[in-house]
Amino acid sequence: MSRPDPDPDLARRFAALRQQERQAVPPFRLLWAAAGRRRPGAAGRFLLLAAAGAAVVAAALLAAWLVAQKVPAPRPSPGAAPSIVEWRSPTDFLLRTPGQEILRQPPALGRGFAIEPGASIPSLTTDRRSS
Amino acid sequence: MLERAQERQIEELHPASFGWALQCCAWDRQEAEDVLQTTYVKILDGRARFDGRSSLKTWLFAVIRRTAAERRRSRWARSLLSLHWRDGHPDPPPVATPEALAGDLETARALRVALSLLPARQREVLHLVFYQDLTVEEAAQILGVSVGSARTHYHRGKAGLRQRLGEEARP
Repeated sequence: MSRPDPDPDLARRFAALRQQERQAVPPFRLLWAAAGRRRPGAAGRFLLLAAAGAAVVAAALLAAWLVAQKVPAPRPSPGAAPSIVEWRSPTDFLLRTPGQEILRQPPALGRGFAIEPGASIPSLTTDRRSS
Repeated sequence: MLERAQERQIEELHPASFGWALQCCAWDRQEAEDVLQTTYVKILDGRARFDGRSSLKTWLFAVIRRTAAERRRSRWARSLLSLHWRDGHPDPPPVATPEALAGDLETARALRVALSLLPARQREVLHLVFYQDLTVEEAAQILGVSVGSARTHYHRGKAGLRQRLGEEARP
């Protein structure tokens, strides 16, 4: 497809515009030569690469120096704080239930647990069956 | 390395390339020369390389258009930093004013004024089809849009251009 529909009037107008603009076209050789001068030569390209390489090396050296200079994090001294194994909560006593010693002892025949305050614990050797 | 035959082809296309650069730079002659020269620099140092996937003209025009857009963007970025912007008066868009074009030949002048009032894509498609004698498909390739989209820009642009030229012709 060249053009969807021909338009002689617009074509004539554009031709006039083209003709006018073609009269003032700068010479090709002039622009081409100027472009050739603006183009970075082999030396320019080498300098560009060298500068980029130097920047990369400088960045790597800086990073290495920073890593070397890095101070290790301070370790806590052994006596400064109790270890988690030794630590006891200040409210630990609240967890102690009354009569805990009874719970710790295994039950024995002939021994009652309803002990009056102040009474001595009955002897384990007393045999009630004999009385 | 650029082949001699390719250089000759670019030389043959030079007037058309300059016309296209003028259009891409809203008929700013100095800017168009700079854009074309930068395009040639890109070709010479290999940043723009013709790979034969399209015609040389299509490829060259796409490079010119891209270069013009890059320069426009960098100019816009510079204008952001300038005092002009801080004062709240950004640089005007790079479209030639009707007054600036008043000295040209009447037909060409009227067409340029009418074209400068069209959206960029419509202006580009019309230029490529009518001025450069390219097909809508080739225009689409240069602009990096689908053929359907280029055809829409072509029809809308033509209608807009006719309307503006008609308004101008009226007393």
